[in-house]
Amino acid sequence: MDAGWLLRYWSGPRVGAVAKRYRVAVVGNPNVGKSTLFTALTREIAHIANWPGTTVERKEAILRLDGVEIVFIDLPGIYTLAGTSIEEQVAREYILRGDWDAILVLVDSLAPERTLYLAVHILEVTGRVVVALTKWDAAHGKGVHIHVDRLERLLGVPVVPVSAVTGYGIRELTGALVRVLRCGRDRPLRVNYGQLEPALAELEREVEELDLGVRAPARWIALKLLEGDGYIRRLVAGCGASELLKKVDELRTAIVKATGRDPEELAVTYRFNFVDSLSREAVVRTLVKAEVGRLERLLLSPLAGPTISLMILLGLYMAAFTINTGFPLNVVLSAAGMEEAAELIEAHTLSGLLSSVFDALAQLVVASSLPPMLKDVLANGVIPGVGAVLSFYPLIFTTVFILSFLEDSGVGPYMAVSLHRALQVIGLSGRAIYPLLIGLGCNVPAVMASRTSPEESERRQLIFSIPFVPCQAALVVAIALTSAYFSSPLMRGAALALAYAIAFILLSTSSLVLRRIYGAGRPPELLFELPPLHKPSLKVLWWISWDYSKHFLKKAGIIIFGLSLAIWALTSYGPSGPVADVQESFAYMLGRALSPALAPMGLWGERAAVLAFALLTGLVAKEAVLSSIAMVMGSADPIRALRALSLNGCQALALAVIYTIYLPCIATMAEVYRESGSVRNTLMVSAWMLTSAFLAGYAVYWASTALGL
Amino acid sequence: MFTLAEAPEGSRVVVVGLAVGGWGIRRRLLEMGISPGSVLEVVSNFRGPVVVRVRGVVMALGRGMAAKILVRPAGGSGG
Repeated sequence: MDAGWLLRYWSGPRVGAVAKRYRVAVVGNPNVGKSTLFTALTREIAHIANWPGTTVERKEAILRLDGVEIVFIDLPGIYTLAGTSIEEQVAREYILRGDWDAILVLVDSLAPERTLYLAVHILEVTGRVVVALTKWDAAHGKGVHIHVDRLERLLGVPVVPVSAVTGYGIRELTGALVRVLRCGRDRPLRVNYGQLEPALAELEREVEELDLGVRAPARWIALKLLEGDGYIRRLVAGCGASELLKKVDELRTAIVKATGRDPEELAVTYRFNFVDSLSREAVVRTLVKAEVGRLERLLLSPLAGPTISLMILLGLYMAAFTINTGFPLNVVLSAAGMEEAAELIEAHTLSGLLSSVFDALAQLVVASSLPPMLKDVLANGVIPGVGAVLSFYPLIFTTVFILSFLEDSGVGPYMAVSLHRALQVIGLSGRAIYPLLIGLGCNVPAVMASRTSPEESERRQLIFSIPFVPCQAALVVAIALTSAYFSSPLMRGAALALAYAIAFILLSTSSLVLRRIYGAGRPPELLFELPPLHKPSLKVLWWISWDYSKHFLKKAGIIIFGLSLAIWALTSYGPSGPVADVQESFAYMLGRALSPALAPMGLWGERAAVLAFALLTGLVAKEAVLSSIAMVMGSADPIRALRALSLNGCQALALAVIYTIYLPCIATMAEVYRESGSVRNTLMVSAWMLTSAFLAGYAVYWASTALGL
Repeated sequence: MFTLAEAPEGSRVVVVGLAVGGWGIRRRLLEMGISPGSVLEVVSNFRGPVVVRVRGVVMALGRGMAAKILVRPAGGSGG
């Protein structure tokens, strides 16, 4: 049990404590504006994690009002409590387990006819509910008018119009919540189920006799049994009520015979009828037909859609990476022979500026009067370690910012539709384009961006295949190797293309294999809403990005820092203590021990040891491969150091392939672990990458040798 | 009668039946408002996913799923 659990039990039930602590679950459809309202309501997210055993995100925030503390638990965006997706299962279990004092249900005031459905469904479970009508600021402009008090009367719970963007209604919302928390009655809503009613009444009486340990009225359980809900059936079966289940089956068959329709279809229809009656009484649309906008249509059109989507993505991508690391502008400039301009850009990017700050710090330490041993640890171990963590921060921040922008504006889902076909080939959906593209710059935010996928199976697929995408640092190493050994630009280009092609093949294979494991081999099916496009609020985007990136620093930061420090220790210590020459260090010994792996490519002895050692140091960051080879070969220029190894062309080519793929850097590993929550799978992916990289390297070496290159 | 995957762009159709296999997917369609009798407006239908408007909301459906939804033309006034 975590500390939060204990805290709840210490402060929860006691009367007369300083502040009474309540728990409120926040529920709503995807695109209803939930994360926006969540942020506006609570200002700061206290805790981000995954729901146990899933990649579904769990957010928690605490709001302190006079005398009351409300813990908000953000449940995943769902359409129903049927449990057809992992998100719905998570939300349903949370609600039925009853670890809450009230539920806040979000209804989109731009689409009340649809989003009231979930509200009604939850109101059938409990009356301790407050309904928030989101996006209230936009409703009138779109010709939607909702009679709030009429809706309140029909639903029997407080209904509060709010706008996260303008802050309208937020105070009224917390006020209504406090009232419900203090003295709300748990009287569920009653929907008329027409032809199902006799069967419902019969089952309800029997369900009342059972103690299922869930927080839902007997009528609701009876309804779910009639609907054929597997989860509820299992609960009932767990109580040994097999007689009841037999009766359920008989009633279901009788209903199909009498009406010609499935009970679940009937139940959903009656529920929608109820929602329709609510809309008729409480909603007026003055613009009779809300058309699909022109921009939305353009994004969905066969040719313009994919083109515009790709252009938007590339634009955002270039902006994000150029600000942070200078990529790809620096590579283009140095390829064009403008090395100085490229260096100038790199020095003035966020990563460049950060690293110069940390270099200066390290120099300050070296110049200080501390004991030499401590100086070494600080200047070469701790400070670069912290620097490594912080250099990822701006990149994570911009990535989250862009992701939230795509989601909040509604552009993201449209892009997913237009790019869906292309990505289906490798077993992914249109949603995967963004994480894949980001991966070309840096795998760390790319793994995090796997969250954009609405499907659990696809998220896992992405988390474990993204490390195959060659990142910018891997590209730098491959460029250095090819430049050192191939004089013609054409050969260099071809060598790089080969490395990328192999990485892509491995990525696709992994993705397809993972699809078999997680998605039973079926392609990811699309079924999601396309919200109308709108201008996102910069304030809200800022909040969300700030919150997320802070949590990244906390979680992944510790692992990145720890592993960087470990690698540093391995390179600066040997069996006889601190070493001046890396060739006496543990890392170099380890490299020598691993060097036989390079033997199939005709590399033995010292040369292989240097290369294997470089592979180890490249774990901190791929570009470190170059500096460590330079260090061992005693040359400041990495290209010259590489040439000093006097490889042949085939070996250089094979090494370019291996260095591009061999392992995710430790930051990526940390992020893969953070997102997947599984040490075993993280290690398995790393092992698979290592194996496939070396096999591909050998194959390239043998093939190119056989071809006489 | 034809399937939603074959419904021409811009047309209005009425759902006749869901020949969708899995309980989950069928259930999901039902609860998103795609059930027998509901009227769909085909916003876009070109090789990729089919985009429809139902109950005032625009939704994208995978082509495989759309091919399992039986529909008929909605007639002049629709529902």
